[in-house]
Amino acid sequence: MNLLIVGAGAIGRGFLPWIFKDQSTAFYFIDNNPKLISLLKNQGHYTTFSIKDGKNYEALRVEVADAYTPQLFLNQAINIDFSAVFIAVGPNNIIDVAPLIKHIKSPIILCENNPNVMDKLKSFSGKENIYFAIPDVITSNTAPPELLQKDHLSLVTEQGILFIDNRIGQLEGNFELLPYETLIHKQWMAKLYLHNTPHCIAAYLGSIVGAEYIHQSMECPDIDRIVRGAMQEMLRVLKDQNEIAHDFLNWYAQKELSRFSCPLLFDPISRVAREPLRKLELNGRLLGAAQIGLASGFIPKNIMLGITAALLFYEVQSDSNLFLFMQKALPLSILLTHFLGLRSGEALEIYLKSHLPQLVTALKTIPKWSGKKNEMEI
Amino acid sequence: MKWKFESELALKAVSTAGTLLHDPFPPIISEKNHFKEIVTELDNTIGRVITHLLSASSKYPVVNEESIESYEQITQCPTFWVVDPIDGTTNFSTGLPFYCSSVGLMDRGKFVLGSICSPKTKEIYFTYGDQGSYLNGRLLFIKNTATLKQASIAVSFSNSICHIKDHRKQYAVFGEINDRARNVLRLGSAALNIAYVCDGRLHGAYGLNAKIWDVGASLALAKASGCSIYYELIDNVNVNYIVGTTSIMNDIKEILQNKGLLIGD
Repeated sequence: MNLLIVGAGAIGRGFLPWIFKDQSTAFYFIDNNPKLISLLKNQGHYTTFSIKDGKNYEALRVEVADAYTPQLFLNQAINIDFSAVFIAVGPNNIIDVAPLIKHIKSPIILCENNPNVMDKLKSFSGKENIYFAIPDVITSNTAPPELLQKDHLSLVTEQGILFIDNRIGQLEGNFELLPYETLIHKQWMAKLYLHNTPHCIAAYLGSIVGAEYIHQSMECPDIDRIVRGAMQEMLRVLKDQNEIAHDFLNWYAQKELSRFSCPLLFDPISRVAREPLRKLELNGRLLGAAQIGLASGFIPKNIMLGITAALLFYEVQSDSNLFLFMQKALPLSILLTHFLGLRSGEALEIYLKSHLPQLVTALKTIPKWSGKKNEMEI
Repeated sequence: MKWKFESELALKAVSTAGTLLHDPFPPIISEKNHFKEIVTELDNTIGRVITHLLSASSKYPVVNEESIESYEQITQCPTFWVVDPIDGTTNFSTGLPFYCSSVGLMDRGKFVLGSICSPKTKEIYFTYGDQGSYLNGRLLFIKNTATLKQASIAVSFSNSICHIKDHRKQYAVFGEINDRARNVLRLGSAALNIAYVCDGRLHGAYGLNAKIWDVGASLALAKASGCSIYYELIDNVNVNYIVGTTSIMNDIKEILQNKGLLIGD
């Protein structure tokens, strides 16, 4: 079968081929990075590594049937019968996908970290055959140096699960179909608050102490404590406010903490922490998490530390310190209302306005990462 | 990064102005030289506050709309601040939300940085040194490929339009562009007109005989966000400008040139 994957990043290139490894599949990629597309076309294949038993890597060689930039795809008026189209481009880029799927009749499956983008894409494209999926996995957009030396297009992923809306119809692969309501109310709630929230907190805290990868961040005892604390705060909220089975929530939380600490994953902080303003959006993984904590009647102090860390985040691989610039120039009240969109006088705004200096101080006392390299097996 | 310190200063200045503009009481209005040109007490207060803030931290002199005693001299300097305490005072006086405080820097005839605070809409635009312009921390980059037929354009008329030469031609141009574009708006704030082009809410903006303190900051924002810009300094303080996508900018420029309203290329 032919599969089109829009977004040749971590999920698109690293994880999805594993889902279809048992089927005879031709993979076609679209990405707006022309250099990546050129590499994929010229090399014609790449390797994705899956972590096996927490100790070793299992390799999967992926043959690239073809690769396009969006413009090339449109210009060439590709007329291949795709069994499905997967989209993993990031919520901020979803509008750009609309012209690419104009003539697609097969299921269009969104592996995006926000279910709201589904309605957005339906509205922009005018298409109804768009479905939501949740990749319950952590996939890096890179690999350790030893693997990159052999194949600079390689990536590392966990052995995750892909949950897809069961209305997609006929498609073969190693995924699980779920009713949409279950997808949203159980799997998405768990992913948002028990994965996205603590995961990005680990990233932002890690950036402050000089770590490069998530597992290095989790090696710092203070960060480990804060991330576990944030996880407990989210567990408390989900158990109080939802009808999701507690066993499932406890299992999910434990699974995530193990993942964050996995040294084989080589998940860069730069990937997890990118676009901090999106991570700080209202109702999202940080502010939303804090707001539901406050609404539940307690102050989620570890989430608050995570929000502060996000505000302090220095863009890795860039000299730009935009947030620092804004913090120096603007009163805190304006930073909170104009940039984070909080309402003046709401609980979270009041708390952050009065506690942000102490939170910043608390974060600055966390010792720097020791810089020890981990040995791993290939 | 060039102009980083000055960008930070401009941002600080407009945000300070923004907090002052939250005065809940109706402003006290007085007329300047003409019934069309009004000023409020807050214009003067904010002007003083911004000037003081800039002067305390920067060596560059300040041209402030509400304190024009020395602007003839100041505008001869190579580098100076241009400040409009409230751009859109008429809107401000009646409660319409389209007004802002604007702080920009002119350097050797170029608008190099700027910041605008629109307090009612809780929006702050700023240049980040020479590395782009932002709205509330989000990078602005014009992607709009609209043509004039598809465009919403904003125009700013000089407040003294009744007395300037060619004012009938300006009305005629407004009509012609309105016929050829989707629509033409007159929002009442030249700074916000241009800012809305930067963030894609409008597709073009133009103005004749605008004051450099009205548009200095926003023209710098427009340049940093990738807009096509045409401007010509008429004298030390007046400027004609056109901002938009390349095609829209060229279309408007042609219309203005055909009416003899621009000085030159």
